[in-house]
Order: sequence, then structure tokens, then C-alpha cells
Amino acid sequence: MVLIGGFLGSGKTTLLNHLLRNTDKSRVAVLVNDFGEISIDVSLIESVEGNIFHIAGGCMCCSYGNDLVAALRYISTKRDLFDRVLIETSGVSLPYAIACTIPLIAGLELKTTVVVVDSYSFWSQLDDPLISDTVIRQIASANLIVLNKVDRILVSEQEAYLSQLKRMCPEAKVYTTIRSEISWQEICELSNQSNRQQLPNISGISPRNLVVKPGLGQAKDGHNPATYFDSLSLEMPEKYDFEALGKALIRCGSDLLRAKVIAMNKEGNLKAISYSSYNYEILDLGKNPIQAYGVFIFRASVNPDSLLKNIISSSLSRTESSVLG
Amino acid sequence: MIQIFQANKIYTMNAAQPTATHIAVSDGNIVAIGDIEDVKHLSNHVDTSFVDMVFLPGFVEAHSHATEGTFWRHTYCGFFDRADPDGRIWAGLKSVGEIVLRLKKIAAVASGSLTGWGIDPIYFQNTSFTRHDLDEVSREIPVGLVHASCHIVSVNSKALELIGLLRNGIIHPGIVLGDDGLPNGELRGPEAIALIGPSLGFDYDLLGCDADGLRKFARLCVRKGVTTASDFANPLSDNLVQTMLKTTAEPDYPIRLVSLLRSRELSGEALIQRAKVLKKLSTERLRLGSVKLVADGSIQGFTARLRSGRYFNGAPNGLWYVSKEDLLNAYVYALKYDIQIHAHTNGDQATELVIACIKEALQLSCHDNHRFVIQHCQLVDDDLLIKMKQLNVSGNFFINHVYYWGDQHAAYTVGPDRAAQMNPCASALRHGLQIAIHSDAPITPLDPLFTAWCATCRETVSGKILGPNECIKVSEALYAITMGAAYTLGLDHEVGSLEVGKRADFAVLEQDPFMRQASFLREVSVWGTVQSGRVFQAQRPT
Repeated sequence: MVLIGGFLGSGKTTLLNHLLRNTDKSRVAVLVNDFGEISIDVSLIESVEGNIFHIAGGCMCCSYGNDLVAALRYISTKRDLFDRVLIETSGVSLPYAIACTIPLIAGLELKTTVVVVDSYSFWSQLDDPLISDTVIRQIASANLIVLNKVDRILVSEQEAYLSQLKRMCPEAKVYTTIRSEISWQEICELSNQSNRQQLPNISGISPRNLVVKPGLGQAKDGHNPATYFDSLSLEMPEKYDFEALGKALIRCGSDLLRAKVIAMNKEGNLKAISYSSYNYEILDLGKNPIQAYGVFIFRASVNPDSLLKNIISSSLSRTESSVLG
Repeated sequence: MIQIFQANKIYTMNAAQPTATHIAVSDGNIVAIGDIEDVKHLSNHVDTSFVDMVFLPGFVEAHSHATEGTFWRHTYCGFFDRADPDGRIWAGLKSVGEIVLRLKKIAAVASGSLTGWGIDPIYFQNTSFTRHDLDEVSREIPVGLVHASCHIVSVNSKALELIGLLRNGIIHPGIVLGDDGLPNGELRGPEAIALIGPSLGFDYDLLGCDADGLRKFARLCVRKGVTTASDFANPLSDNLVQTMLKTTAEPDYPIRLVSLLRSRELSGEALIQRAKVLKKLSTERLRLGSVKLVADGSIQGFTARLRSGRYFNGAPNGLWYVSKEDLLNAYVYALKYDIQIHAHTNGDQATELVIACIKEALQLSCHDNHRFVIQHCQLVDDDLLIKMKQLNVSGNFFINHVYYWGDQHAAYTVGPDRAAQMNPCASALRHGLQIAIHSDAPITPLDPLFTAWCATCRETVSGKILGPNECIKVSEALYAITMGAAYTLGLDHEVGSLEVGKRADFAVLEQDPFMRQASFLREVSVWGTVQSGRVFQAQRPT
């Protein structure tokens, strides 16, 4: 199951059509929010039945309108009919809410969240007080970012785009495309990568460089997108219960966007935890002498002291007995 | 046949003839109005049963949802006393214990599932209602409690168990976890609520309405003097339209229902074309063919879009429910096909966007005759009001908010200064706008006289006056619930005032709302209505 998000006009439908045209013989079910917003290539459609389009090769496309949960339940009962499920979100919706809902339906599992970015309007979107926060929130929820329409920007500027996207969503893999030409293999490959638990490096992120436009400095006063997020790094010299730490990070809810901690566990082994969008991964770092530290990226509106105090106090390994008691 | 009604006094809302005592009706239309001398040539018989009563034009509820009728199948658990469609008063519940007690009584005789509605944690120091509270009601059947905002539902352990959510490891922004790591029973937002809806027998797609619900809704209207009511978000599928046509055509159906198309499957030209098809199905008592668009969320749910970028308590900006491109498209085609659009905006940024889209659509179009309305329109300053006036856009203010949530708006959502300017009726009138005011029932109770009281007094639950400079006069408020509301629904040529050629719709009142202070408005008692010449007495509690 793959979720496709991105702001209006970024190239989501192009990506969808591209994937439907190149299905590798797999049967694909597509859920779209609204047929008004999507234009499935007419040449692909075999027949229409209510809100379901039947597409060549055993595929189908169905609009979920206001009832995504009902559509997901429907899909979960038809799992043997389809090898892959694509969900396209509406241009203004936030993929993370949908990404969290999918695993609550029995039998469904989300592989990847793809967010398509229109490189041509990228900076102007970040500058637009009406939509910048929506775009930032969409990009932050990606595993895979498709930087699209790169033929419309200078090659020499691509690096600025890539490093900006890296700052906004450190863990996502970024592909550049002209017309959303991403293959199933590239999408599936990525899931394999995350299975290998590669730890993205998110250290060194500071609020200062979260959103900086090349050449123009920060956005206008009053609508500075950088003020939405803040980050803090600190030394973590104690021993920690990493499972409890992971849960404590999840409990922060949407206040906490990303976190990475390298520290000792209860037994004195060096571990790393990487947290993003309600998921965490724990890695064994063996006995390598690395300095213990933590980096936390959170909403600028929250008080970092109490946030961090909660995280730390509930994960210090000596408090384990009281937690269990 | 011509009927002549005599009242103690008739306020017409027609500036050319503000008051009268006699009114002659034929075929549901007013054929003469004035004193006895003006009508006596039409008939010898005068109906004097209302000589002690005061008539106003039948009230027009400018923004409500007919589905309030179906809510009353479930148990009311709100903080304030509220009358059901039969006029029975359900006492407001002032503590968690009282809520549990009421539900427990119902649970003893309930089978299948049990749902309460109308609670607002704001009145209980914002404490959560958890599954542990509702487990006191029942552990055997699923129990749900729909919050007043309709954006949150609390459920018991059994309900969570039925949908497989009573387990560890749930990670979802809309599912609140307790200290034990298990969901605490609070489900927030449409995704989480959609998971539970079916097992509670509470169709959370609160848009459609069935025959029984439509009749109950109409009874509520009669009790509050309403003769025309809006139904502000209906998917209007063919089946629903058939039900509505059939029910509203029943001989004693007492209101004119204006039902707006709200579609999540259609946009742009397809949406406007659907409205055009619906418009042709309209009857005297069911008016179709207008469209509702929703731009943002709610202020108290922190999902409305604010120009300031964040809420007073630091919460981040809200959510867009529609894109600029979809909005613009809809307005362009609405102008082309002569379809009215009502845009829901709560935050000022959403209002700003809608105004920009209307402006652009008008520039692109050769048609400039429209009656676009901004609904709720809660946060507008002079800048936005002036732009609305320039574009001939009217505003329908959610003034009941000032009473029910004004204290919270000052403390948490927008801060005291902006809260004082919420729903600025006086400023809107100063800028020459057409305005209406509304209840958004079932979010707050349907009662136009109460709504008018809110606009004249701007008193909050705690008794504070929120923004005294935005209070309007009694006459202005009563105009807003009659002619103002009729204007926003595009029915001002038929209803909203009492003059020859218009429908014979009266609110029949037992006291004169003009003869006392503004604070008295909410105390005025309603005898019933006359709708298209048909007399409906409000049901009295038994």
C-alpha cells in the first residue's frame, strides 16, 4: 500500500497514471479522494460502475469522498484481488492522518508515503502564508519525495532544493523527475531500504537552517515558516530504556516531529533510536565510542523543557520498576 | 377562500408599512394587509383567535441542519436545558456523574448500542470523558458520547473492543492514549470517528436525513416560530431527494426547507451542473439548487485558518478543506450557470481566500449577478467587510458562538481583543452589508429569538459582555432573522416580510419583542406559526 500526497498541481495524478501504465503486470487498486480533482488517463479505463473505474489489467480506481475508512475496509475485504493499493490524497490534505489510519484496518499495511513536490512553485509555496504550513506538513510526512518538474529549474539550483528538502524531511529519499517518472521498483526498493534500518543523519539541524531560501534569506516577517518548528540537542549521559523512550516519543503526538538519540541502554550497550511520524527504530551500535546525544525537532508552539523532561524521565532505566509497579 | 387574521399587532419588516393589525390570505399568499378598513372588502369573517398575539414574519433559520431531527433518537447529555421536538425539556447535566446516571437509565432498557450527544468538556474544566467513565454506563453494549462540536466522540471499552482498538501499540493522532498505553476512549477527528460510527448505530455522516428526522426537525421549527429553515450540508443523493420531496409534501408539513448540496465527490463544473439539475426539482416546500463549500474547520476545534498563523494558546494554524483552485472553479461555473454558493469560513484567512476567489471569478466572468454568501464568517475585520461590500457578498454570522464559546475564545482560541470582534454584526451593518445570524443547529439550539438576543446583548455564559460595540438594535436583530436570512437564502422576494404578494408566513408570539429591553428577547414565548396560511400550534410539553 502506497500513499501519494503533495500539494495541488505537484504531479500526483501524473505519477498515478505513470504507475498505472507501468504496472509490471501487478493488479493495482487506486483510491482517490475526488474524481473532480483527478483525471485518470481515459485510455486506461475499461468500464465505469458507480464510483469505481475498472482499468486495464485487473486494476480499479475508486473515489472515497468523505469516507476513507469505508473505502479502506472495502479494500481490506478484496485483498486477494489486488497486489498493490495506491491512495491519492487531496492536494490540501495532510498524508500523515491517513497514514496513521491505514494500519487500524485489519490486514492493511502502509509501505511508503510518497510526496510529490512541484519544484517550479516550491519557493513561492513556502513564501505563501496561506499554504506554506500545509506544504511543510505534507513534506515532513514523506518517506519518498519526488522533486518534480526539474526541467523548469536551473541545474545549478537543484542542490539548494535537495538540501532544503533534506532539512524539512531528513529521512526521506529524494528523486528528481520531470514528469513524475518513478517506477514501482524505486518505490518498493525504498521500503526495503527502510527495512534495513538505515539511520538517517539528522544531527546538526537547527531552527536557523530549517527553511532558508537560496539567495533571499528567510521569508517575510510575520509569516516566517521557520518559526513553526524548533529543535534542540543535548547530551544524554545516563542509561536509558529504549523501548520506554520510543513510547515516550510517540506520546508527544504531533508536538514532536523527529528525534534521534544515541546513548547507552540498560545493559550499557550503545544504541541509537530514530523517531519520525509515530514510528521508531532502534539500532545496535555495538561498542563504538560515540558521544551520547539527542536531537529533537518539535513544534515551536510547545514548551521544550516540559516536553523533554517527560521524555527523559519516563525513559531513564532506573524508573523502570516504578513504571511496572 | 380568503382568510383574514387579526392580531394585537403585526410587525411587517416592510419599511413602507411597518405595522398592521389585519392580514388577508388567499392560497397561502398575502392579498391585503393593514387595519380592518384595508381588508374588510375581501371577507366578512375575521379570525380573532390571535387578537392577543403579535405577528412577525415567519422566522428564517439561516444556517441549520435538518439532521437535528435524527439526533433526538439519541440521548441528549448537554450542559444546558434543551427542548426536544415534542417540547419536553431535557435538563442540562452539570457533572460527569449526572451524565453517567442519565445514560445508565437508558442503558438498562437499551439493546444493541447507546449514544448520547451534546456534551461539551469546556464546561467541565476541559476534563476528558474516557472509556472508564462510560464503562460505568455499560460494559455489555457499546456506548458513545458525541461532543457538542461533533468533532469528538468518547466511547466505552466495549465499543473499542468491537472495532479491535482496545490494544497496545495504537498510533494515531485522533486516538488519545491513556497512561496504560491503551486508547482512553476519546476519538478525535473524522478519520478516528469513522472507525466507530457504524458500531454505535450513529451514522456519522450527519448530512442526510430521513422522513422521521425531517418531521421532528419541523416540529422544533414550529416551536421556535420558524417557517423557513435551511439544511446546510446535504449530499442530496437521488434517494435522499426522493425522501425529502415526499416528506415535505405531506399536507401538514409545516416548514419550507432549503437544502444545500454539499458534495465531496464532485467539484468544479460537475458540482455546479448537479446543483442545476437539483434546482429544477424544487417545490414550494423543498428548495434545492444552492451549493455549500467548506473552506476551513472550526475555531474551537483549532482547525479554522487564521491570518495570524497560530492560535492564542500557541496551537498551530488550522486546516484547509478545499484548494484555492477548486474554490475559484466553483465560483466561475456558479456565475456561468446562475447557481448560488455559500462558503463556510470560520477563520479570517479562509474568508480572505474566498473573497479573493469571488473577485477573480467575477473578473473572469461576464456575469456579475450573484448572491454569494459567506457562512459563519466569524472573524472579519473592517478590511474584509469592505471587500465583501465591494463584491456584494453578504455574511451570515454564527452569533450564538458569542454566548456558548465566547469565554473560551477570549481565553484560548483568538484572545480577548479578537474575541470582542467576533461575529461583528454592528460593523457589518455600518459597512452596508446584508447580514443574517444563525444557530447552526444542532451545534447550538435552533431558536432565532435567542440568536437575536445574542446579537443584541453579546453576553457569554459567564455573564461577560463580549465586544459591546458590536451589539445591534432589537429591530436590526429581528430584521436579520427574517428579511436578512431570507436574503441570504435568495428567498427575500417570497418570504421575510409581510406584504401583498408574499407568502403568508407568520411567527405567532405571545409577547411583543419590540416593547421591552433587548435582554427580554430570549424570554419571548412562541405560540406557534402560520405557514402559507396554515396554522400550526407549537406542541406543549405533556
